[in-house]
Amino acid sequence: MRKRAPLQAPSQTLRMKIRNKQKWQRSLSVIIDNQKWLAYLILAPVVILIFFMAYFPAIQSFRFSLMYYNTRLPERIHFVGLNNYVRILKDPLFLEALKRTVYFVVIAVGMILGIALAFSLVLNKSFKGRSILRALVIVPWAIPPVINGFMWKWLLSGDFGFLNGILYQFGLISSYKPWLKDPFMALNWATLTFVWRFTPFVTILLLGALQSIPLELYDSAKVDGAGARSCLWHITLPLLRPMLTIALIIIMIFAFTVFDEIYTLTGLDPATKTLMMYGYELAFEKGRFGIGSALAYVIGIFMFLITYSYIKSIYREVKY
Amino acid sequence: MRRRDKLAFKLRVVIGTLLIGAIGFCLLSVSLAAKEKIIYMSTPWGVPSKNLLAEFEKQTGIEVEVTTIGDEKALRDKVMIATAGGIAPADVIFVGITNVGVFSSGRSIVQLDEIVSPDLLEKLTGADLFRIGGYLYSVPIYQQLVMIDYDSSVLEKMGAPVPTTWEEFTQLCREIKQKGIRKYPITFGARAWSWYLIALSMGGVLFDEELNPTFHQPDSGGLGAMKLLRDFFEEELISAERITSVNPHPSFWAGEAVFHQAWQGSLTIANNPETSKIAPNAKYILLPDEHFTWSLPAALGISAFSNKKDEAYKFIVWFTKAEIQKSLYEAYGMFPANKAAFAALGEAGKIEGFDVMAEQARFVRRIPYRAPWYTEFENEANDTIKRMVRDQISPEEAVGHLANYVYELKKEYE
Amino acid sequence: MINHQKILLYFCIVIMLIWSLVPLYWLVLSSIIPQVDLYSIPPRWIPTRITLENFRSILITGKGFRGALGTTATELIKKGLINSLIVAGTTTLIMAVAAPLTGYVFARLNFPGKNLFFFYIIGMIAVPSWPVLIGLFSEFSKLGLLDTLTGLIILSVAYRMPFDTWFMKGYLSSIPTELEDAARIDGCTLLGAMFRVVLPLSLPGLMAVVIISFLFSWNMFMAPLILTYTLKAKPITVTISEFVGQYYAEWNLMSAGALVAIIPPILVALLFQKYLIKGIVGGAIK
Repeated sequence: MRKRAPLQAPSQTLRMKIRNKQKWQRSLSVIIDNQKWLAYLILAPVVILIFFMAYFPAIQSFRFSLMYYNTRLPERIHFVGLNNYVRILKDPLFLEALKRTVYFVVIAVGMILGIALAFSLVLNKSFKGRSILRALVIVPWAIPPVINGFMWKWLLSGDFGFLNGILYQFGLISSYKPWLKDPFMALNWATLTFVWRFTPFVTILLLGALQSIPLELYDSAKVDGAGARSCLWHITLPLLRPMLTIALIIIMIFAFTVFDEIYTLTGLDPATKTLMMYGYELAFEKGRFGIGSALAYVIGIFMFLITYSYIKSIYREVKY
Repeated sequence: MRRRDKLAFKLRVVIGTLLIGAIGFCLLSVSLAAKEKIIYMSTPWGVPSKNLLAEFEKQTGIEVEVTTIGDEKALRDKVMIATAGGIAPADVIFVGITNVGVFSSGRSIVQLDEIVSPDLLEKLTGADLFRIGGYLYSVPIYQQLVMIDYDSSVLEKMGAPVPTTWEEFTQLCREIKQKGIRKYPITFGARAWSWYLIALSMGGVLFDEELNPTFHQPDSGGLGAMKLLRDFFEEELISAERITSVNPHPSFWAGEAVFHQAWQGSLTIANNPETSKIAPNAKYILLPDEHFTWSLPAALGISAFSNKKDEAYKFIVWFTKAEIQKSLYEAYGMFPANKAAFAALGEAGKIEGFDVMAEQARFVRRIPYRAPWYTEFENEANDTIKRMVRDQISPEEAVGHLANYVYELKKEYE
Repeated sequence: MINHQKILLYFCIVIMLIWSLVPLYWLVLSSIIPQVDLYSIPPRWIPTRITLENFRSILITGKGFRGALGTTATELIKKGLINSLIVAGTTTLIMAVAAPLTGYVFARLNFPGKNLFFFYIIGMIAVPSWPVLIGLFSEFSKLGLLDTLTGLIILSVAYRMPFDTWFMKGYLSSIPTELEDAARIDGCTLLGAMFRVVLPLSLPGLMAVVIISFLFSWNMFMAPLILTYTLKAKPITVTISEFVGQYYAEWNLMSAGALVAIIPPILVALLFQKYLIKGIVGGAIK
C-alpha cells in the first residue's frame, strides 16, 4: 500500500523559489501594465518582420535602380546614379504603358463606382432573399485573380467561347469573333475582367455607408414632396461622398497594380502592357534589374502619393 | 525521501535514454538525408518517366527530384532570377538552344570542358551548337529540326498535290478555306518562330557572319516572310487566336488546321490516336521554296552554384544512354542526340517520315542563339510581330524596327 | 407607382445575378458537359448529359504532359491545394492573434513614436512588389526559406499586417473605453483588460479580418511564382497556371481545374459572408 508523504514546511530552497516567482511576476506586470513597454513588446516582432520582408528588399532594389544591372552581363554591374530614372521617363514604351495604365484605371474607377453604386442601392432595399443576393454578389471578389484571368480568356475565346456562343445564339453575330485580337478591345476586356472581380468589394463598402443614412431624412423629404430621383440626388449622393472618395482611392490603388489577371488573360501582349506588366518584363524577361527597379520606384512614387492622399482624406472625412 | 530519490533517479534514466535516442535518431536521419539528391529543372518534354528515374536511383544512389517549368521562357526567367540571387535553382538544368547564350553569358551554367569526357561527346550529335567561345556549356540530349507537318487526309480529299512553293501553299490554303473544309487551315503562332520558318525557307539568311541583321533588306527573305505572315493573318488563314495563344500545337492535334509548324519527331504525337484527332494522317512536308530550316535542340547543363556537380554529371551521362534517349522519343517525339540510338530507331523503322526528314536535314541554317542578346531580340520580335499582325505597323516597319533593335543591343553588349 | 418600382427592382436583381454568376456558370458548364456538346456552335447551354470525366481525369487518373511522362495534373492539383491550405490557414491563425494585438496597440495605448510606427506598418503598401521580390529572393535563399511553406507563410503574414492592423485599429477605436476602464479599476492589467473585455467585443471585426486574410493569402500569385520551384511549396494558384499552360486548348480540363482551385475561397466567402460584410462595413467607415 502506498502512503502519501506527509506535508512538510517549505524548505529553504522552496521559499526562495516562491520569492523569485513573485519578483518575476511583478516585473512582468510592470511590462504588461505599462503602455509603453507593452506597445514595444508587441510591435517589436512586427517591426522586424516588416523590415525584412518589405523595407530591406526595397532598399536593395533601390540600390539596383541606381545601377546598370543586366543579368546577362553580370560582370558589368556598375553605379549609374539617376540615369535609369531618366531613361525610363524618356522611354517611349514607358509612356505607352503609362497611357494604357491611366486608361485602365480611369475606366475601372468609373465602371466600378457606377455599377457598385447601382448594386448597393438595390441591396439597400428590403426584399425577400436579399441576404442570398448579397452573398452571391460577393462571390466574384473571392476568386483568385489568376483564375479570373483564365476564366475570361476562355469566355472570350474566338474558337468556342461563351461570348461568341451567346451572341451567335441570339443572332447578334453571324460568326465567331476573336475578341482579344484588336488591341484596344483587348485592353478593354482586361479592364472588364478586373472590374468584374473588384466591384463586389466596393458594393459592400457603399452599402455600409448607405445603411448608415438615417431613414428620417428620406421620410421628411418625401413629406416635402420629393420624388425618388431627387432623393437620390440631394440626400443619398452627398452623404455618400466620403465613402465614394475612399472607394475611389482604393480602386485606384488596386487597379494600378493589376498583374495576375493580365498575365493569364493576354500575357505580355503589347496591347495590354500596363506599367506593372512592362516592369515585370523589364525585370524578369529582359533581365534588367536596374531599369526594372527604377520603373518600379516610379510606380511606387505614384502609389505613395495616392496612399498619402487616401490617408489624408480619411482624416478629413472623419472630421466631416 | 527515499522513494522520491528513486523516482528522481528513474526519471533521470528515462530522460537520459530518450535524449540519447533522440540524438541518435537525428544523427541517423542526417546521415540518411546525406544520401545524395539532386534537382533537375526541365520543361515538361525533357522529363524521363518515374520508372527510369527510380532505376537511376537504384543504380547510383542518387535521388532525382524533378521540377517542371511550363516552357523555356518561364524556365529561363527562373534561372536568371536564381542567378541574380546567387543560388542554384537546380543542379541539372535543361538548356534549350534558345537559352544557351543567355545562360552562359549570365554565368548560370558552368563550362563543362573539364568535366565532360570527349568520348561522351563523340557519341552525340550537336555538341557544337552548345559551344560558345570554344567552351562547351551543355551536353546535347536531343536534336530537333523545325518542320511543317500536315493533315494528309484533307489534301487527299481535295486531290491536291503537296505544295512546293509558298505561292502554291498559300493558294492551296485559300482553297481549303473557301471550300469550307477547314476554317483556319494554317496554325502558326504570331511569334518569331513562324517568321523564321517562312523567312529561312524562302532563302533568307536573317543574320550575316558578324550577326548583323540582313532581314530588313528589301529583297531578303526576312521582309518577304513578314509580308506573307501578315497576309496569312489578314486573310484569316490563321486564326486570330494565335495572337494571344501562340502555341500552335493543340489546335493541330485537335484537327482544326491543315498545316502546322512542327518539329522533327512530332509525328509521334500527331499520329498517336490518344493525343491527336488527326491520327494517322499526319505527314511531313519539305519546306517550300528553298527548303531551309533551323534546329532547336536541347541539352543539359550544370548550375554554376550547384555543390553537387559530380552527381549532376552522372545524371547527364545516364541521360544520354540509348535507353533513356529512346524513351524520350517515344514519349515526346524528341530525336535522340545519341547517334547510335537514333540509327537504331531508324533501322527499326520507328521513325515516321524518315525520308522527308532526311531530305530536310540537308537544308539547315543557324540562328544566332549564342549571342547574349538573343533572347531579348526574340522577345522583341515576338512583340513586334504581334503588332504587325494586328495591323498596327507595316511589315517594313517591323523589320526596320527589329534591325535597329539588334544594332542597339549589339552596341550595348560590346 | 409601386408596381413600376417593384418591376425596376426585380429587373435590377436579375441583372445583378446574371452579372455576378454567369461567368462562373460558364466555368461549371465547361467542366461537366461532354466535349461534343461544349465544342459545338453554339454550345449546349442547358446540359442534357453530365459527365464527371474531366474531374476524374484531373483528380484521379491524371495524364502527364501530352499524355506522356512528367508531373501529372493530379499531382499538380492535389499538392497545390494542400500547400494553399497550409499557407492560407496558418497565416489566418497567426493573424487572428496578431491583428487584434497590433490593432489594440494603436487604438488604445499611448507611447512615443506611435504615429511613426503606424505609418511604418501602413507604409508597407506603398512598397512596389516585384523588385522587392528580387531582393526577397536572395534574402530567402540565404535564410534557406526558398521553396518552403514556412517562407510563404512568413511573407504572407507580413503582407497582411498593414491592412489588418489598420482595420483592427479602426474597429477597436470605435469600441467605447468605459468597459475597459471599469475592468482596470477592478484590478485588471492592461493586457488582461484587452483579453477579457476588448477581444470579445471585437469579434465581428476579427472575423472579417480573418476571412479577408484567408482570401488574400489564398489568392497570392506573383510572390509564390517567384519564390517556389517544386511542388513542395507551390500553392494552387501557381500550379493551376502551369496546368493551364500544359493542357492548353483542353478547355474542359482546364475549367475543371480552375473550379477546383476556386471552390475553397468561394466557400469561405459564402459561408462567412455575414461577418465579412459586417466587418467591411463596420471597419471601413471608421
